[in-house]
Amino acid sequence: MEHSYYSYLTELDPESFRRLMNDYGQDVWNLAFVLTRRHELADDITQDVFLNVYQNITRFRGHSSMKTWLLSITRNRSINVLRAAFMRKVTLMDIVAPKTPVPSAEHTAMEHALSEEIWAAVLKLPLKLREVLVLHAKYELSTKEISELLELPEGTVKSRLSRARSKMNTEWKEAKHIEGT
Amino acid sequence: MKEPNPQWYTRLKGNPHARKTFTPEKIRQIELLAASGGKRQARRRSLLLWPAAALVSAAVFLIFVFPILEQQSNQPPGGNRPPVDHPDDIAPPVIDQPAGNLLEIDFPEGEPQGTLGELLPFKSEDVTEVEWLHSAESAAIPIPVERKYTVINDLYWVNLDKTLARTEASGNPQTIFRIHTSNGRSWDIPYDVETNTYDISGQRFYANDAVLMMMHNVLDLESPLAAWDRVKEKARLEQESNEGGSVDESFQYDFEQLTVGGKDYESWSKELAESADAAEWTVSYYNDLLGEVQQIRFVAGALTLSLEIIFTSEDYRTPDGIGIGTTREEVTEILGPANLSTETKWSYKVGDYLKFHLYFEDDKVAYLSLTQTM
Repeated sequence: MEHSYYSYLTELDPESFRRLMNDYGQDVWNLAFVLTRRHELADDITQDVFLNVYQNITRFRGHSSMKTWLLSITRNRSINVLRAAFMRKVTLMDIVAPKTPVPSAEHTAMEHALSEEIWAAVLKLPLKLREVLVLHAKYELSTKEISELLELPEGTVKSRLSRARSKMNTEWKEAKHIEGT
Repeated sequence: MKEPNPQWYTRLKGNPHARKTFTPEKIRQIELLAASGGKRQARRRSLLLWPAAALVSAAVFLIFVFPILEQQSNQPPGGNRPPVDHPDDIAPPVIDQPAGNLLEIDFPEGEPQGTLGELLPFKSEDVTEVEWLHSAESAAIPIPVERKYTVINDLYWVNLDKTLARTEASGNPQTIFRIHTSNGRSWDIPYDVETNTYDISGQRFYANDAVLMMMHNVLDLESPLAAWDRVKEKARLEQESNEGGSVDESFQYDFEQLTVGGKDYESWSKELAESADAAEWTVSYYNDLLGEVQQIRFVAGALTLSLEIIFTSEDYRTPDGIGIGTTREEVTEILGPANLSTETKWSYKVGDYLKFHLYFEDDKVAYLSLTQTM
């Protein structure tokens, strides 16, 4: 079991802490970024999450996998930050790839930044659809696990997932159509 | 039958960015912080800057805003919201900024789509200052530096399709946002606080709730939104400066103890929605979190915001009697410590989330707040 190593720890020694960050740091950062769409917020949230875990590792008792536990903390922290984000500096990275057929300088920069253009379409989804889709598609959580993580009925998760897929099917087809013209 | 995963699912297995964004340097930084006691690093702003910012804000307020405040009438927002006057006797402030050009966007044929950020003639990182003014000829007043991104951020994420307001402007004088960029250009964007809409090339688009509340505050409208924004912003700045540290996850509270009038967010949300017709006023805004236009409502002293209900009346209390006017000492005696606290805001965990909040003014509870996860 991936979490067995961590579930009996009473404190994190430096080696375990580094291992934890090496194993899951990018996953945590990615989720924070997908939820907030801000690089600097993703940095802040990732830092918060791991400091929190460092201080509270005893709260992890293996009822879920370490990855799910970390994603849950990350999601909670991201929502709290978004809720407080009355103003944040918008960086160039915040502007997702435009739909214009002729790539602008910004578009080019984004293409370099995002690994796949499909992420631009994901980032345009409303948050409540975006988070469900990413937890399901990228992090491979089941709808039941997502419902526990988000404290939502599983039916609501399924409904949001269906809407997210439907929107992506439309958006992604539009993007491909423009690409092909 | 279980729906098969679309083909594009596999494309989402990888990372959003081609390069690694959680770098060894960031790991090292977190390790150092953990070793030094785990106090989160205040990344954005030095604590020492806040007193200076407060002084600057106070000076701006006294020089520019205060004279205008006395020109404003005192009425609630919504249908009865006061018009924004054009004061004649304001001394022009000395601001060395160019006049703005009215922002004109050449929207593609048909219904506008996409986000406004894709069409703006400037980049957010090039914005040096945001001002507001009553008309193109009147004096421009700076938006406090710590809030300029409230406007810029919202403008970038205006969803041209979903925020399109099929409503006329209020007919009252509009505010103008003037945006200055590092290349010496300036752009004017008309904004109507009564309908909470931007006027861009003859079309109206809803702003978000943050802009609405900030402008109620900046214009000093005598409204619950303005009063709430003052306290909320103070709490936010305290939190930003890391005054409150991190959330203490080691304990949480009973669900029942942190209800208001015996009801949680869900119950209140349902009840207030059913009594929406009794609202003293409503105003629309674009909810970026949910991706839809919603309404802020003020019903019987309860302010319904995005995923949050604010209780502004002494009638609302927790089962233990905590309500507006309860002192800090009394709150601590009744509830114990908060999971996250700054001078202005104390937050309490119910389950995995901070769902109950108290806001203080003059060491007494000024607002109770219930929040909801998405």
